[in-house]
Amino acid sequence: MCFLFLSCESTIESDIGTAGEKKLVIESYLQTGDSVLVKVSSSAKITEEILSFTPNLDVYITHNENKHKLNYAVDRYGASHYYLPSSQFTVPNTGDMYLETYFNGKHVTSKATVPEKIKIKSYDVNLDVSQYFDDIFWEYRSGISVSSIRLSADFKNNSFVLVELKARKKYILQGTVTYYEWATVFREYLKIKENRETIIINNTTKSEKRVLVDTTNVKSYKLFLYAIENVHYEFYRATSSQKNDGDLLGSIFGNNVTEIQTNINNGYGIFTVMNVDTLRKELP
Amino acid sequence: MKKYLLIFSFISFAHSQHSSLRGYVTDSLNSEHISDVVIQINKNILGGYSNSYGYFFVESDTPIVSLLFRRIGYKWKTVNVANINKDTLLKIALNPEIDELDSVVIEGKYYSDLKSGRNIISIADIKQMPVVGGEADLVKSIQLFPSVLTSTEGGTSFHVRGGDFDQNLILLDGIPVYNINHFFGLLSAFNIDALKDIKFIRSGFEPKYGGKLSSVLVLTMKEGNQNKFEYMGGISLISSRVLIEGPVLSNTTMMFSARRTYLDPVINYINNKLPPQSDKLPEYYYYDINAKIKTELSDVSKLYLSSYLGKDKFSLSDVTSSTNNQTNMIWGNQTHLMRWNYVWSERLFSNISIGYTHFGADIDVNIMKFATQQRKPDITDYIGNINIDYYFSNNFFVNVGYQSTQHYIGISKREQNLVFGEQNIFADVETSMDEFQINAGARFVLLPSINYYTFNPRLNINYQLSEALKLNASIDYMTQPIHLLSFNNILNPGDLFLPSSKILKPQESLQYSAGIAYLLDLEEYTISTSVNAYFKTMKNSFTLIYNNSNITMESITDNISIGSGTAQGVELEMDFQMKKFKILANYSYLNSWRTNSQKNRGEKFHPIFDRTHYLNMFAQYPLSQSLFFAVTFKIASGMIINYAVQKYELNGYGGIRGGTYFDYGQLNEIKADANMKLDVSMTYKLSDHWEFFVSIYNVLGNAYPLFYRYDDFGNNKNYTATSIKMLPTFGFNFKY
Repeated sequence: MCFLFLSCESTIESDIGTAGEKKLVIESYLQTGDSVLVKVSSSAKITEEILSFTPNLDVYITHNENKHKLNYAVDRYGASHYYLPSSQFTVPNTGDMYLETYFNGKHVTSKATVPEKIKIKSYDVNLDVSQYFDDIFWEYRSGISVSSIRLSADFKNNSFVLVELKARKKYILQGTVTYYEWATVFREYLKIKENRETIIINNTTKSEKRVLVDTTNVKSYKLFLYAIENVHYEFYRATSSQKNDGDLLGSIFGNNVTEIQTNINNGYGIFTVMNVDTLRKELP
Repeated sequence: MKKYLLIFSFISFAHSQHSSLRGYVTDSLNSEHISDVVIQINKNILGGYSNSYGYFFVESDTPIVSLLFRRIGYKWKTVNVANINKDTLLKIALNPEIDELDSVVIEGKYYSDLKSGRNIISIADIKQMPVVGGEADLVKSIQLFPSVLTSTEGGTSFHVRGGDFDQNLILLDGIPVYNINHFFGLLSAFNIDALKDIKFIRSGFEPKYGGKLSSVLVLTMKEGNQNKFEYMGGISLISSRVLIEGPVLSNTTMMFSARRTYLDPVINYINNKLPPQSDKLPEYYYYDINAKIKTELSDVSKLYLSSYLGKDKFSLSDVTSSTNNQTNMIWGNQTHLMRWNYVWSERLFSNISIGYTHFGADIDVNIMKFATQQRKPDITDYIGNINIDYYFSNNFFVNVGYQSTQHYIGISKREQNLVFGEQNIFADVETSMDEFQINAGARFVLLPSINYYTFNPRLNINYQLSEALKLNASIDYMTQPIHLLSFNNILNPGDLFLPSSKILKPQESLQYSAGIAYLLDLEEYTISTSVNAYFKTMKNSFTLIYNNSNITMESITDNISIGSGTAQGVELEMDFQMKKFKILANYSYLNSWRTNSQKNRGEKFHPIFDRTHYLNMFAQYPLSQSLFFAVTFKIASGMIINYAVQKYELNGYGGIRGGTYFDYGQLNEIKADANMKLDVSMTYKLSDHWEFFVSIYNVLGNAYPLFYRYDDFGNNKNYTATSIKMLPTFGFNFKY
């Protein structure tokens, strides 16, 4: 039996180091009513490191035949992005938006269609608010998780939504400075298969999604219902799947690799618009 | 009325032929019935074949003086029947060729014995083949047939003529077996000692076979030696097996075989000796049991009971302060069958059976809470079958039947089983006109729960151009109502069975095949060659879009994508026999495509198992009465590997995880280098009852990869291929 495990490995001579050409990577999840932000980076050959990217691009957004040139900036982590402040343009509620630029001599384009907003009528959340022992900080803390959500809205057949529940999380810095942030307790991407008013979402992995909150001082949470594009839904599923593949060849047993579909012509990533509705409630 | 009179007069005319004979063909050593024996009247007139139960009926315009019986694995036998009364039920006993190595009379085989697209391999040949781990393996032996590809080297799953691996119908005594692997696909679930007969069909399907698209593997269990009690078995590195067979009453025989690994006590011993906090070895065992009873109620009435039971269990418990890995996997099959054969008259033979088959698995994988899988695939079938053979005349034979199956299918612990019914009626007419032999028939498939029905027409034409040259053409329309949702491309016990529905329609295929066979039969040697070409279209096949392992019945349609496929190819077979030396060689060319809107940006692509060129060879030579050599040789195009061509970073947002992602370019476009492998085996007879065998896998030590992976540790970024090189195994076989 020992021989079975004494397998031999050999390196494959291949042209992987030279395969493929660098492409522009776009990441832009726009929200209706917000400003425009488009993160950009460059892909790399498989054997190379992905280096910081300082582009020299002219990036345009077009809506209703009004073309806007985006400004360039670098965030605090050194990542490049292009933006348009809300004073100049806000993401509209309807219509198509077009992104356009050139990279390495290639015309890079994309189109996003603003999905119709889905108004939340009401919702009930089955929350689990409890004390638990935090293995990392070695102390008892207050945590919140979601068992299930019953959500009423006018859901349309074959529409895609992202449901998020956020609670106020308390931070104490240097023992004195306190500030709060909306922390995501629950998140689920869904495909709606038929016209309906109510959906029930059961959270099967609630123990993994427990979020530390200050239940003594903060007693509110919010439900966000994003209407999203099909391409956004598939992008989420594909990226999750590829992360789970665990190997560049998909699987050592010859499984098919996960392809990530993109709506960026001559590039990678995603350019999409979400139409969001929000409702706030108090913690029980 | 005139029409009925015409039919009646035709039948009367057919019955008025003045010379006919009937009987059973059996093995001389154990009196087991032998199927697919070619029967020639007066040496050169094709009289027909023995059916699945060894029964035959022949008829001729001229007096029948002699019958010649031919079959792979047996010596030819000519019987003088000039003075035999036509009411006599003949019992023809054929001598196996392998038992007397020194006096084997090698005569033409394969050629014209079977129709194109079919192979028979003898158990004796399989036992001589080189093995891994010391177990002769049935499914690995059929991988030596043309157009049979494996998903991974060493695995037991196979793809036939560009089809997916769930498209193979595996029948054990007529009952489907849904999962054929032990040891995660490294060994097949069948103990070769318990089998009598193996037939493999990849085109020219008789209408009695259905439910899968690409191939039929027909396995028949031994009925038990009618002449004496026999014990046989083997001891190998990983398991032992034993078989007992013999007569138990004057009219009853039995066969019982069992096989089990003995890795688990060894692993338990090692684990107990290890320090408490150290990593433990996984525990594993498998076993299988075959049993069969045959009783002859009378000369014309036979009752059979047969059962198969197999189980695998794997568990890994690695719970320490820093790890929490627990994996438990159990899977297994069982089949039970009761069959009654009755010869109503010399022309009418019936076979009625009721059967049960079940495959179940319980998969619970938990590795550090990150990689978790809980699945409970389960399928249970209750099957009723009526099959009638009617011999109108020597050149007009009809097989009709009805088959009813009720499937109970489960996919998870939380959900109830689905019930899915399947009704089939089939008819096959075989007729001979001069040099033509035509099989025409159809299978009617009714799936009441989805209001679906279809006809599967089948046509198979053989034309004897000359004594040595034969042409063949066939058309096969197949329907597959039960699908297998595969999470990776080896036959994983956690794969889910799914019934057809309004969305998941039954898979369908249409295959055209044509071939030519030529026999050069000289005194010193025999060469039989054939060339076959085929074109196959498949529709409603589906694939998992993403590697989402936690699927419920409700979410299935969101996780799969339905597509279509084509496959075309050419097969060349050559069998060379010179005295005791035998070579079976074949070459296959395959060009297979899939189309799926969710894959490869909607453009067509090759399936992952596709290999363009594939050459197999099996050779055997008895050096003396006690020393026997055999080799298998394979050379094949490399497996498909999907190199990532570019990588990029995403920041992530709203559930989309940040990190590095990869682009693979065109799906399944790149093939690794071609590989070749030579395995050898030697069997040495120690005594009349014991033999010793040594087998060396990949004796040349070439890279014949099991799998490829990307290694990105440190600066050593490259792709590596993992192969097993020169793996010797040995063991003992006995027979009393």
